[in-house]
Amino acid sequence: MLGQIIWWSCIALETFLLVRGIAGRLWARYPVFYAYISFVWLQSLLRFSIFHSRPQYYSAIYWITEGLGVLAGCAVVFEIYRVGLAAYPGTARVARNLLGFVFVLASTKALVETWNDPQWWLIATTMDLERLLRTVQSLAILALVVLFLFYAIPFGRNLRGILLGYGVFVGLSVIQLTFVTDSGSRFHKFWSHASPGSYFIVLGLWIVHLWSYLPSPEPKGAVRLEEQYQRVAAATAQRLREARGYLAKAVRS
Amino acid sequence: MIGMWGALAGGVVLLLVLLAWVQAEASSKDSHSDWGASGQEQGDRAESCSLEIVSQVFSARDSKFISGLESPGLENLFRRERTAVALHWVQETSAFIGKIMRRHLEASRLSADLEIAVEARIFLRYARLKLFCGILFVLIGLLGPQRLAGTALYAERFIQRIGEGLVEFQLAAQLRERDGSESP
Repeated sequence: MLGQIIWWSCIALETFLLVRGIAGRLWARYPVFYAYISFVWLQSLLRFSIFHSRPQYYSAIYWITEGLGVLAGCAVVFEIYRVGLAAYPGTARVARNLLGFVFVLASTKALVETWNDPQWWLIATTMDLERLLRTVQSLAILALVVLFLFYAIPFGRNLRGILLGYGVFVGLSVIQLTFVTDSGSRFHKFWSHASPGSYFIVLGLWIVHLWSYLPSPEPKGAVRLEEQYQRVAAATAQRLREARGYLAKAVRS
Repeated sequence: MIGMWGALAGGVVLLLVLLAWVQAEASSKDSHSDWGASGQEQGDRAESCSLEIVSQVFSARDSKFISGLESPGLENLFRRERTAVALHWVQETSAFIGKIMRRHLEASRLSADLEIAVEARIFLRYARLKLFCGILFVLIGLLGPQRLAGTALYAERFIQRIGEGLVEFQLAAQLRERDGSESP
C-alpha cells in the first residue's frame, strides 16, 4: 500500500514538475533536463501499467527503461556542464579535460578487466552494469562539483537544483546498487521503501529549485579577458614570490 | 570492474561533496564579493606587514635580552606573547597566499586560452606554500619562533626552488604577453 502511494506520488510530482517547466518556459532553458524528466514520467507510467496488466514483462521493461534512463542521465550531466560553465571558458576547458580523464580512466579499466576476464560481460548482471555506469556518472558529477567549488563558480537557483537533485539521486543509486544484491535480505526490504522515498525527496528538491526561471549570476569584468588573465597570472607568481620572501626571512631570523 | 566498495565510496563521497558544495554556496551568498573589495582590503593588510617587523618577531636578540634579566616569569610571558605573534603572522601569510590564489582563479576561470599545465604548476606551488605555512605553524607552536634555526637550511632550499619556478613562470607569462601584443 505504502509502495503504491509513493509510486503515485512520484508520478504526480513528475507531472507537476513538467507542468511548472512548461508554464515557466524553463524547458527552453534546460531542454535536456526536461526531456529527461519527460522520459522518466513516461517510464513511470509504462512501468505502472505493465506491473498491473502484464506483470510477467515487468522485469524486462524495468531493466530496459532503467538502462535508457542511465544514458539519458549522462546527457543531463553534460547539460549541467554546458549551461553552468557557458560564461567561464577557462573552467569549461579544465572541466573538459577532467571529464575526459574520468571517462578514459573508466574505459581503460573496463578494457583491462575484460581482457583479463573475457567472460565478465556474460557473467555480469544488468544490475552490475547499471552500478558501473552510475559509478562513472557519480565520478563525473564529483569532478564537476569539485571544479565548481575550486573555482567558486556562482550558480543560479535552477541549475543548482538540477545538479543537487541529480547528484543525490545518482549517489543514492550507487549505494543502493552496491548493497541490494540479495533480494531476500533485510536491507533489500528496507531499501525497497527507502529508495522511492529518496526519489520523492529528489523530485521535491527539483520542484522547489525549478519553480520559476532565475538566471545564473553573470561574471564581472569580461573586458579584455586574455590580457587580464596574463597580467593576473604574472601578478600571482610575483606575489607568491613575495610571500616566499617573507617566509624565508622569517625562518632565517 | 570498479569494485563494490569502490562504487560505494564513490557514492558516499559524491553525497558528502554535494553537502559541502551546498554549505559553501550558502556561506558565500552573503559575501559574494569575497573576491572583490573585502578580499582586496584583507590582502593588502597582510601585504603591509613589513620585513622589519617580521624579522623582529622571529629574532633571537630580544629573547637573549629577556633571558639576561633572569626573571622566569617575564621570560615565560615573553615566549608566550612572541609565539602568539609569530603564529598570527603565519596565519596572516597563509590567508594572504589564499587570497592571491583566489584572485588568480577569478581571472583564470574566465580565460579562453587557459593552459592546464600552467594552472597545475601554479596550484602545486600554492599547495607547497600552504603546506610550508602549516609546517611552520606547528614548529612555532612546538619549538617557539626563536628555535627554528635547525630547519632554516632545508626551508631556505625548499622555498628557493619554489621561488625559482615562479620567476620562470613569470618570465614566460611576460614573454607570452609581449608576443601577443606584437602579433598582428
